[in-house]
Amino acid sequence: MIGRRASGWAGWLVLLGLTALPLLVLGVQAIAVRWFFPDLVPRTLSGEQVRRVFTETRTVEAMTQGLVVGLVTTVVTMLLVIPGARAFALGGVRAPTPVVFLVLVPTVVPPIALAMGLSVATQRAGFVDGPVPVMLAHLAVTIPYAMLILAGFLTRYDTTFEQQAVILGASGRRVLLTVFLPLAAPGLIVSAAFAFVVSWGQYLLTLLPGGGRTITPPVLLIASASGGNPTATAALAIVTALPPALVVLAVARHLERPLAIGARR
Amino acid sequence: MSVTIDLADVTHRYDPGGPASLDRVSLRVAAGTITTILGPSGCGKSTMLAVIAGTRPADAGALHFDGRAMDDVPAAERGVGMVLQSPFLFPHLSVGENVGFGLAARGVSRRGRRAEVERWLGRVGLDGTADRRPDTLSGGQQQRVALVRALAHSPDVLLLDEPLASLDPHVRSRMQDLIRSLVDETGVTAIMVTHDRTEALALGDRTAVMLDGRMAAEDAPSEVFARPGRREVAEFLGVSTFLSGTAARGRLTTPAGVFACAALGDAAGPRTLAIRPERVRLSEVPAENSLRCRIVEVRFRGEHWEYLADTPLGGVRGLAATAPVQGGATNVVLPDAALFPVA
Repeated sequence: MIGRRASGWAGWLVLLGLTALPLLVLGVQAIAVRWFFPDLVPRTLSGEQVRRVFTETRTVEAMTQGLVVGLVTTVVTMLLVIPGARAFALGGVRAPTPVVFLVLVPTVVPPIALAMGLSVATQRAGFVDGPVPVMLAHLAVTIPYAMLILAGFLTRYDTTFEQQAVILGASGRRVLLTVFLPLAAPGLIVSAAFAFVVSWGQYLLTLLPGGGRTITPPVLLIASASGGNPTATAALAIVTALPPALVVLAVARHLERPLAIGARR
Repeated sequence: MSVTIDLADVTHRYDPGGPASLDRVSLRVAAGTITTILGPSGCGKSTMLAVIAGTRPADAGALHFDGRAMDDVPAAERGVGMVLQSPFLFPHLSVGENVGFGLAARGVSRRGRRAEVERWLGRVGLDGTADRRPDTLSGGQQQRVALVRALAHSPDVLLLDEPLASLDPHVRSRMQDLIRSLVDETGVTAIMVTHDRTEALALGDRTAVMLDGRMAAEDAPSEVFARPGRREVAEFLGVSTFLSGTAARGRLTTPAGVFACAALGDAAGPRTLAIRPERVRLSEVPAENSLRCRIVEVRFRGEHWEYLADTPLGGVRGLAATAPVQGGATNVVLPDAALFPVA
């Protein structure tokens, strides 16, 4: 019993050390004015840098562009992924292994290679710079994540509900709207959330296909990191991390909820 | 409204070239009646219901509702209601929305649906539950909701796929009565698949037995149980005593004696007779159609004792109200009227 409790505490410490501690340090760095080695804490604190970052025009523009790119990419991702994940989860794919491999390729290829390849491909297709090639490039990485997450949820989806609806006289559209979408909602929400988070965090896949014209928070953040102001960079990092953190927090409860409920109490 | 259901040589395979899950199945279910289908797991009972419902296409054969070919009619337009072993109530909808689902699909107004839903819920003793979530109801209540959901849109055909299998015995009994009365009230034509022989007997106007994708027997329930024509049907229905011999003039001559059996009629030549265990009797004194035996096994089965008697013709299984003496020598009687021939 004691061993189990101790290992539980150790697990929590590792988890907090890997997540909360870096964020805490980042938070302190964002309000630190004079923080020199080997001081454990900053000598002076000020919220000025955070305030400035939040109100700067380029930050607001980057946030807006990041949101637009992320949301549009997410919508397109889900439109493409829902039928695919459904077919995959419900046994409608004849050769699942090659399909999984193809879907996963963009996530295992080095990002720089993928970014360059997609950049050239989108330019050849006539999309030179701007948000459209960026969204197309983001799809390459959002689709695999969204597909795998949704397919995982849908393996627990029981199509008997749909058969019941059809027998009761429901059209295909009614089945989709009143049975599939509500029952699959937790999976769809989590899948869409991760598609947005993945899109939001892309740096190379934004910079190269966008030709430097599409500035999202990660692009701004890397540019700031190569400057010499760690306090401004930390403040910008917090701004960058905030939307995905809020999105994941909002959907966290769906990660635990069973998808299809057909069993009796 | 009710319809007569006709299946003619319906065949279905899950894999092309694989074994037939339905092998030239023919069945006629008269309008407004219940036909119960008995059969072991995997014999094709549920597949047959799926073909009738339209959720699985038949590979060959024909399905008619009142003479109208159903093969090209989509499931949503067949006018069918179906209840499965699990209720499969839509968990995101209220009880009332579940019951009114079929009506909503047919464009019935919200007001009209509400009245019908209340009427149906009241009919099955679930007044006041329309706004509740399905998972707040007990298993028996959920199955009642599933039943009225399947009936609320006034289907011509009601398909019941082991709807009582996972209910407690006392709930099952009440549900059997409810199903019978609802079918009688609505006049719907019903087919009910069940594993339970008593249930099939209690509910069916006709009973069919399916084995290995084929329709092995179909008759009035009492006939199917008392005189199943085929050995495999008899075995499935709990018969384990078979006598083989030569028939002549209403008697069967076996190595251990001659047995009178009026059901043989004029049959002559090699024949097999069978008897249900509840019709076998024990007698201290030898009688007509009796065999000397020793009781080798006695088991209490709740309402009766089951015994195995070792006879010169092999084991004879019977049921008795009191416990026979294990190891005791006695006579086992196979009454003339209880013996029936099987092919």
